[in-house]
This record gives sequence, structure tokens and C-alpha cells, in this order.
Amino acid sequence: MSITLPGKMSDQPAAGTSELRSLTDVLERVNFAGARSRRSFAGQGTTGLLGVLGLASAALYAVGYMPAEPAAALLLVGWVAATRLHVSTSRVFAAGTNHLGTVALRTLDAAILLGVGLVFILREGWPQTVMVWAVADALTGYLSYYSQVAVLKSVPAGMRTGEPGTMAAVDHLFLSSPLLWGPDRELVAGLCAVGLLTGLPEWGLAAAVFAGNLNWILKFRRLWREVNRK
Amino acid sequence: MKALIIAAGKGSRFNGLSSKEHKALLEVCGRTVVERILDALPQVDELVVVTGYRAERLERDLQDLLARRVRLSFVRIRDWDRGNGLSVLAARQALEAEERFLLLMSDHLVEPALIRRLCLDPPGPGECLLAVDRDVEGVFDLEDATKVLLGDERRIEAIGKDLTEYNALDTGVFYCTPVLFDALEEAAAAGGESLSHGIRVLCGRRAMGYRDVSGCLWQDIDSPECVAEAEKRLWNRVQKPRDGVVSRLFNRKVSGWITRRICRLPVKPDQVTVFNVLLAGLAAWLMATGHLLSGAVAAQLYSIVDGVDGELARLKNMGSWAGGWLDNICDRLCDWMLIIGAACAARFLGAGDTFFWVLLTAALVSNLAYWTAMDSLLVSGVLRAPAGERGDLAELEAWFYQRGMVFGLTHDCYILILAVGVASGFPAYTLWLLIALETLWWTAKLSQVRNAEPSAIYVDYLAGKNV
Repeated sequence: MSITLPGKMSDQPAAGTSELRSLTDVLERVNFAGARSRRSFAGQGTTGLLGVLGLASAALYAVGYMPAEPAAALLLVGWVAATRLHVSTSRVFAAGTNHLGTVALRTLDAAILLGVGLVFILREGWPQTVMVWAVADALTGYLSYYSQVAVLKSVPAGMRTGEPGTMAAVDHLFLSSPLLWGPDRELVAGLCAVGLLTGLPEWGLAAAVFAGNLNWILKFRRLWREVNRK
Repeated sequence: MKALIIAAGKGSRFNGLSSKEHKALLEVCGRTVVERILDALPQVDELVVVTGYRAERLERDLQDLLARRVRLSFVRIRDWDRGNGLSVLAARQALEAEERFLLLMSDHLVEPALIRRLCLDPPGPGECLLAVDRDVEGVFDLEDATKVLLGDERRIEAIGKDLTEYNALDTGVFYCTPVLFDALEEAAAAGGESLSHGIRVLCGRRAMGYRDVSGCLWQDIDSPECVAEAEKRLWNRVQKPRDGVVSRLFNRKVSGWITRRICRLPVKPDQVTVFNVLLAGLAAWLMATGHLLSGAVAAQLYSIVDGVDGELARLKNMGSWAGGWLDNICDRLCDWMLIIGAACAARFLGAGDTFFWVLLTAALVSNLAYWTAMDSLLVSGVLRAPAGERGDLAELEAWFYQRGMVFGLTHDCYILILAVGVASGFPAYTLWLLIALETLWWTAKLSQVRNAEPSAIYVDYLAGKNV
């Protein structure tokens, strides 16, 4: 005997099957050029080396052998690069994803940015505005992710349980969609790193907030226009 | 597909209806009957409306209301005070070429599920279908209802208001083929001018089938009492089957009171959502500036109003996928504003900079972890887990589920704890408590699904896509 796991599902009125299908069609039309095979990800594990570099730079900073700015920049870039493989595979092989891995990834995305901000204001004596921007960056990065999750979360409960076949297609197409899952993390972390490396940390952090938010807002403006297009 | 709506009559039984009004234009919970009918017909691309009494004005009003949503055409009749069968017959030219069409009464409120159920199994050639309700006792005004006697093989044996032997009621929604017009002509030639007369002709030919739509909402709007009953039924219809404990016991009672009042105003659900973000912003600002009690009250008010947009969307058929998406995004924004407000309140009460930033960082990271964990359960295909591995937590959840509540640190509980903590003057302790509760809850939920697997449907889908 098995059970379907309940969850906190949308309380929105049930969209018609046609609305669900129209989203599937949009995703098929705009994004989906055939599902990628597992082999597509071969070799991407080498980006893990950048992660090691990031960790090494953080350690060197901790023992006083490296300045704060390049160490933080390398940590951010290294973390994002090293975890790209996890993000890609969990998108394509959506079901059966390691939930704990997803939680760790998204939480550490924010925690690293906030941690960098904390180190700068508490240890390096930088102004507190840096931490304000770091908070904004962390929330921007999460919002980029959550704006995507919210699409599937908004599927009415009756539709998710009543149309499992269509939902499987929507889940999969959605999660493997290049339109939706662009380089959001890279954009935020990259701009922060550039700011840190060029000696303009606040400008870099601020640019990441604006670019990151603009990115997800424009992306969803396009998606909803496609969905509503007759 | 085309749909035919007959709206030629005067509605003389409706006391209090002014000479300028029409029953089709009466508002039920802030939305006209005819708009609600169209809401139920997503697959219809042209609406043919038969008008008669005050036709010119009605046609103008319908154009204003519906023309942006559907192609409209009108058939005007002079003898509007004769039987409604003649109204249907007048639309013959507009519909004769159609393979099938829907026929509805302009004063019958119907919900989308009723039409969906009727259209699942279309009538064969030379056949018509009537949506019937077997719940005879549940009808509001049985005396005025058209009764139906159902026979074998999903055929209707008899129909009429004066039937003494009956086992179902006519909902006023038909799925027809052009054979209906021949039957109406035959009935008219014999002196029967009502739709029921035509249906009886089809019954005699064993060409009148039915589809059971019991449980679906429909209501004949014949009197002010019928409108009140329809509003009551609609409201019951939009209630969520399950809610968080705080929502079920308190928030929904207040939000329902608000929703039932603002539904008559031209307020859209998305506007309520945006208003709620401002409300959360105000709550955060009040907390941050040391107005702890008023900030806490505003935060709880935000939690209450958070239910209004969904209720309004369901009540006025104004829900959309994009609206649900916006609501979810705004929920997170509001949470973060309140967390920042509570952390600032701790600082206002004397916490140092280091403590403030560490507390804020921990509270935000914990909140992000919580929502990532909870939502990752939804965004992972249709999971199935062995029932035996759910444990005590699932039993506790099931106990609450059976009582219409969701157990756990739901959004409504989170905001209440935050509001009470801030109002009590302990914002920092409250945030630490919430961090602990969030972490406990998401780890417990994820442990429930540690051995879950994708459903067979999902696996088949991936196999079909060669993933």
C-alpha cells in the first residue's frame, strides 16, 4: 500500500485543465528542445575544483594569508560553480531529488552571502550598509529561485492530484526549462564577486540586487505573457 | 463551441427588480449571473443570446460586460411573454449548422464543474442531454423546480413542474444537437410552447439523455431569497477544506467577514495582495520603530487579510495562475519584512549591532531553509512513499487533517507566534524560538519522505522522454 504525500498546496480556484495544458504547451514551445540525457552532464564535475579553490581561499583568509575581498569573491564564485552540477541534475531528474541537498544548496547560497557580509562588518570594520546590501543580495538570490518554485506551487491542489499525468509533464518541463532556470545564481554571485575584486564592493552588491531582481521579473513577465497568449 | 442563452423573459416573479434591470444582470457576490455563466463556459467561443423584454438595453449591457471575453450575437424576439421553447426555436438559424451546442437559462447560476461534468460525455447524433441533480431534498425552492423522472440507459422518461413521480431535478443546462429544434417545432405545432414540451417530444423518441451533476452548484435566481441562498451556497463553496490551526479557528472568521463585504466592490484579488504587502511593511516599520504592540496587531491583521485575496478570487471566479504566483511571492516578501521588523525591534530594545546582524542572518537563513524544504516536496513530481514509514508525525497530521486543519508551523501559526512575541516585548527570544521550530519542522517533514520515490506516472513520463 502506498500513499500520495500531502503538502501545502495552493488554495487558488481550480484552473481548468486547459490552463494547465497551456502552460505545458508554452514550456514545450519556448524552452524544451528535448530532454537532456544523463550523459549531457559528463565532465561538469570538474567545476568542483573551483569549489575547492573557494574553500581554500576562505581558509587562507581565516589564517591571515589572503585579503578579505579576493577571498570572498573566490568563495562566492567557487561555491556557485561547484554546485552547478547539482542544480542541473536536480532540475532534469526532478523527481527523486535529494531534498536535503536542495535545502542545503539554497540555504548556503544565502548563508554564504550573509556570512561574507557579517565578516566584512564585524571583522573588517566595513560600514553596515555592506551588510544591508548582503541581506538584499541573499534575498534576491532566493527570490529568483522561489519565483520559479511558486509557479508549480500555484497549481491548484485538485489539479495536481486529479491530473497526475499532465502534472508530471508540467513538473518535468518546468524543472528542465532553460527559459526559467537561467544563470540566476551566477548573476548574483558574479556581480558581487566583480564588485569585491574591483574595489567597489557596495556597487557590486547593489548591482547584483538590481540585476537579479530585474532578471526574474522580466523572465516571468515573458512566461505569463506566453501563457495568456491565445 | 457555441452556447445559447435564453434571456427573453421579464422575470415577473422577482419582486423588487426595477424595470431597468434584468435577472441575468443581478449580482451574486459581486458578479453578475451572466458573467458567472460565462465563467463556467471556458470552451465556448461564441455566445448566442435570445433577448425580448427590454432587448435593446439588455443587449447593450451584455455587450459591455461580455464582449471582451467572447464573441456575442443576439436573436431578438417580439413574443417574449410566450413559452421559452419559442425563444430557443428563434435561435435555430444561428445554431443549426453546429454539431453540438450548450443551452442555458440566463437566470440559472451554474459552476464550471457542472459544465465540465456535462461535457465529459457528449450527446450522440440525434440526441440531447440534460444536466440533472438527484439531490431533490437539497434544492432551495422545490415547488418551483422542474422535476425529472429518470429511466434506464441514462434516458429521461418525463419532465415538468407538476410531475408527482420524479427522482431528479432539471438544472437548466442542456447539451444539445440541432434535433432539439425539430422537437420544439413539433411541440409548438401541437400547442406546446415551452422548452419542457420540446423535451417531452424527445423523451417520446428516447432521444433525451441525462448526465448526473449531483453535488455541483446550480441555483435558479427567481427571487431575492434565491439570490441570498445562492450567495450562501457560493460562500460555502469557496471555503478551503483545510487550513492552518490559527486560520481555521480565528483568521478565516475575520477574513470571511471582510471578503463578504468587499466582494461587492470593484476590488481585484491582486490589489488585495499588494495591499497586504503594504500592511506587512507597515507592521515591520512599527516594530522597527519601537511600536511593538501596534506592530504586532498590524502583523496579525496582515495574516488575516492574507486569506482575503484567495477567498475573493474563488468567490468572484477571478483566480488565475499568475495571481496565485504573485500571492506566493508576496507571502515570502512579507515574511522577510516582518523578520527584519522583529530583529530591528530587538535592536530598539537594546541589542548590540553584532547580536542584531547575527540574529537577522540566522532568522532569514532559517526561514529560507524552511520554505525550500516544504516546497521541494511539491516540486518533485508526484511522490509516493510507503505508508508504513510515515511514523507518528503523519498520524498527528492525519488527526488534524480529518478536522479540516493542517498541523505544523504553517504560515498563520508563524505570524501569530511572531506577533505575540513582539507584543510581549521579547522579539529576539521569539525569533530564536521560531528558528528552532522551523528547523525542527522541516527536518521532521523531510525525514518523512526519505524513502519516497517518484510515482509510476512520473517515471513513465521520464522514460517516454528518454531521460
